[in-house]
Amino acid sequence: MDRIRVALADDHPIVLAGIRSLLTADPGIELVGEATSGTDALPMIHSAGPDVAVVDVSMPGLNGLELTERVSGECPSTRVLVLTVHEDAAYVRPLLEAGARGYLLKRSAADDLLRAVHAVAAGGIYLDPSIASHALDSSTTTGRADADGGGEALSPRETETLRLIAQGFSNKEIARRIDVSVKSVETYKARAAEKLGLKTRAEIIRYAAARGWLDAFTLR
Amino acid sequence: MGSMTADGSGPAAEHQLNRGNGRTFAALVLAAAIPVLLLSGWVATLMAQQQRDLDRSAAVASATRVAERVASDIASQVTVLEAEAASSTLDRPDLTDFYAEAERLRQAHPRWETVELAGPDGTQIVNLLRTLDEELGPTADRMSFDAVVRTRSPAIGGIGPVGPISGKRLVALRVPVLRDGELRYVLSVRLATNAVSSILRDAGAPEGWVGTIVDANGNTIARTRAEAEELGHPANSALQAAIRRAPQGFYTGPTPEGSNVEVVYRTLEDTGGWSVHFGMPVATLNAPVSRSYLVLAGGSVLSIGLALVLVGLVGRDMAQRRAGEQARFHLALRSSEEQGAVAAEAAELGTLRWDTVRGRVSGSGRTAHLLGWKAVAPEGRDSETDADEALEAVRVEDRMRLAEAVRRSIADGAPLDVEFRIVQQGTEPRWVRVAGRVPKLHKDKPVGLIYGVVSDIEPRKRAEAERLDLLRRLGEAQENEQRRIARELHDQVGQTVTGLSLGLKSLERLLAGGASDEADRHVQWLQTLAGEIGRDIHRAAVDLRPTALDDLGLREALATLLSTWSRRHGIRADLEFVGEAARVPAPIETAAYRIVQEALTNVLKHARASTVSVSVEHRADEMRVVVEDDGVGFDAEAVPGPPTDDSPAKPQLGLSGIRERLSLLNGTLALETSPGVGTTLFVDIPVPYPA
Repeated sequence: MDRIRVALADDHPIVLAGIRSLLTADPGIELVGEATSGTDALPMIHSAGPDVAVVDVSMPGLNGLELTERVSGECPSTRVLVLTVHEDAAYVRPLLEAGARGYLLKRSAADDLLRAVHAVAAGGIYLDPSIASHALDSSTTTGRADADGGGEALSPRETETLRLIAQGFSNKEIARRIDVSVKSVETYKARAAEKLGLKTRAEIIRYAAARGWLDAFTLR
Repeated sequence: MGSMTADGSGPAAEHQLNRGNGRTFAALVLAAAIPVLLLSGWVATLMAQQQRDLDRSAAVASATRVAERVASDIASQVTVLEAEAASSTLDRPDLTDFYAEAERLRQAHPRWETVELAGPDGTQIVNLLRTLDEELGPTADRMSFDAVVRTRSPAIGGIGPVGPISGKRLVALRVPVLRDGELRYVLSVRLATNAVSSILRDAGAPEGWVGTIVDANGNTIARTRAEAEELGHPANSALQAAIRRAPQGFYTGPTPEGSNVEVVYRTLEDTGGWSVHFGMPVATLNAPVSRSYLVLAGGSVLSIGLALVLVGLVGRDMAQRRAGEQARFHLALRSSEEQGAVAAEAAELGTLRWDTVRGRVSGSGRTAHLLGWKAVAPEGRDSETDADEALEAVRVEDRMRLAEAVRRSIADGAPLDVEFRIVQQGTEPRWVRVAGRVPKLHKDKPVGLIYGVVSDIEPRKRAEAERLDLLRRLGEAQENEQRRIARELHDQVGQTVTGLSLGLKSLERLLAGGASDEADRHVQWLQTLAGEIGRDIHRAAVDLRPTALDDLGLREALATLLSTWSRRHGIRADLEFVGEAARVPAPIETAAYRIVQEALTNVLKHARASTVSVSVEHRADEMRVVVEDDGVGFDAEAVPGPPTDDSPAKPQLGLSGIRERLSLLNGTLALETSPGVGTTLFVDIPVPYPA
């Protein structure tokens, strides 16, 4: 068990060939199976029972996400390393939730594939560095959801204005609703945002959501 | 058109004009004639009255003159007689000499009928009508005789009774013959019957007047006319009353010349009460005056007649003028209506009158046709129908909108402009447009009335729909093409590049054995190159169409877009989703994604913002996307000008693309901005319920 048993699934022959030559060049890795479609890949993995399955996300037939779910469900001993062209961090979460242990961009495969395979085989989780930085970005942008402010209390008008802003109304609409001028709404908004240290509409929405202001609204 | 009609009735109008002018002229002549007539009548009257006064004063003058003449004539004869009375023949007396002398005197005075000498007791002693020796008897006319005896001064008798000797009624002039202060005799001259008349005639009566001399007893002594009949007869009572009343003056009374005669009279001096009378029938005297009165009356009557005619003329003229005015007004009105109708017809418009008070709608045939009314009036007549019935033909979805628009227009006086569909059995719904307003005539008080035009906008609507459809298909085709190319880049070119870099990695490994550094560097350079190609391809593919949008939905796609954009341009970007995370139809997601993309481009170009905040709210039936920046903003009022400069106040260009996309989905765009505060876009896209 010193050599890592690896299975490949990629619909693109050139990529497949490239990965193959890369993997076979590593003496610690044993290539146990190949498939060029999702539908072929599942039985292949079933029969070969590799330690690591390197899977392309976008394949005809069974796609990478479904394949990952099936494999991690049916063959718990096989760890799935997803190979993808998608740099969107958005793709990562569903795959990780589906049971993938590694996420590698194809354009970094040449450099990092072996390291990723080893990492996953060793029981770790591998995330492509550029994806990891994306994930970090998004976590910072959403990180202020609990901005309490903790400053001065809002006046009822300011609270109402803030709530309506969070609900997506324009200043004009708010002015009409609470029967004040648009200028006043702008003032309320500026003052409330100042008190709470909220800069953007999205922050106001998060603040409102944290207060439960949007619940009734969402249920509508 | 108006001038055409005027030309058509040209000659008739001219004729009428001439007639009108003639009438005006006649009216002017009449108006001038009336005062002239009245004035001349009045002048004639004045002149006649003056003439009468002149006649009268002439008569007075004549009467005075005649009275003086008669008086002086009589006086001279009395003088002659007095001289005779002093004759020496009567001293002793010598009657024969006296007789001869008297006879001589009588010869000298042809008017003397006789000379008579009587004693104080009245017995005639000498009478030239008899010889001396004859028995003579008492003298006639005792009255004057007694007067002489009593006064011992001359007396003039009236016309006496018929003398026993002369056999005539004669007038006596008597003088006393005094000797030694004692009355011896009374000498008398008997004037011939017509003697006084001839004096009267000689004195000259004014023309047309009848002269009379009356004695103190009121008996006629002389007369210029009908002497024979009247002589000696007593004059009428009016005359006698007048004489008794005053020595001279006027009176009116009956005479043989007429029952109503105006008389002027004078009493003669020293004639024993004689008076001269000149009379003229009042009718004759007043004839010119009466004639002038007649003329005046006639003139007045004529004037009244003329005035009536004038009134008639003027009235008729005014009536005709008014009629002409009215005709012109009607003509103008008709021509204006006609013009309106022609314009409406030419534009294939129908005219409409919506009476909300009566709940009735009426309009031209075209209107009835366009609005699909069942009852269509014959050609040229207006159709009318119930308002509810008219609404019935409107498509259910549009009905409320139309009713509301009409109500608002009536309430606010705002122009009505509403487009709706008419559903008729067996045909497709047709779009029509009604534009109109409350008539300005009744601006002050609400009348619940709207005048308007109905136009067929079906072709326009169809063209619009076709254009939108075309745009949509174009957009879809473009989106599909971009998607296809993006996929191609990812799946084919991208994979090949991946294969290439993997191959290069293998090559590097193979060379690692004993190749030169040169070869190593080449391989590494190629690897870098392949990596760059891979990144470029990925970026190009995402820019064309993010696969995440198809694979993962709007939320993830926007998150990736914002983080990538934020990183690329160094502007903080913030995204928040509110509401259900359910996927919406692909066209809407695509539109929302593209709109955010364009909004971000605008922010980059114009806003100079440091933070952008995007919120997407998925409501029950619509999706609201809000893109907010904290950039420079602009003055929304001052904006839309021609895009001449590149100032930050020109984001409208970027908005047109957003509007275009929204129009395909019936979405709306609102914009709030002010300088220094930033700009916020509010985008609403209706989301149909999932089937």
